[in-house]
Amino acid sequence: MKPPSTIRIRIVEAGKKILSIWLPFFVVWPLAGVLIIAMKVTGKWTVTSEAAPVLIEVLCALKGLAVRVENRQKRTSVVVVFH
Amino acid sequence: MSEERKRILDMVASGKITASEAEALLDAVALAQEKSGSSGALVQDQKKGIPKFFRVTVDSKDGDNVDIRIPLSLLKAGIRFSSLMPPAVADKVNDHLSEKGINIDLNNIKKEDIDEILLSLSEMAINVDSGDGDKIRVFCE
Repeated sequence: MKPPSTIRIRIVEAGKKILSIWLPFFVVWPLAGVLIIAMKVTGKWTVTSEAAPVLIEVLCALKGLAVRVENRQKRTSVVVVFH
Repeated sequence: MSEERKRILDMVASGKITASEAEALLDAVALAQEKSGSSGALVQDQKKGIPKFFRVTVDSKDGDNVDIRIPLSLLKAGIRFSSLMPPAVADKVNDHLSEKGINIDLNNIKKEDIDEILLSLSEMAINVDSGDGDKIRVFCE
């Protein structure tokens, strides 16, 4: 299962763009990998850290999640998409 | 039950092979099924007709539009997440669920059960058209 590579967040209020960003989620994965290896090497990998793979699986499952809310009259919209 | 397993059990029943030979054969079949299952899980899902997304759309007459698409793989991942629950907590959750008339044992939910639930969801569609013009659609795709 591929993890989401980017998260798109777009907020428009009264027809004016308030926020429109693409968060580079793919940057998180190498960092998470390095963190896990570092924790294993230093012995700080505790039982609670065993939850990390499952947590990563949940994050991977987020790929494709999309929430779009808009009000045509107020010309307001909020869009969050995990690509 | 798969065709191969059935054939092996038939061979045992008719005395063509011994129980230990059947055990070895069943292990080999299970291994082959695991291999093909892990490599082509997505293709298999598509073939089975398992939907990939849970969709909720709301179109109100006031101009409010809501479109939510939730990947159903989140459900599978969530079930795996529930396996991390301490047994005491899982028992409490099961007790509370059974109090509400939901007899689900969280400790015994398997991937196959989830696939079955997802497959049955492919037929599910809820359409609400209210008198004042609001439309709500809930379906899987």
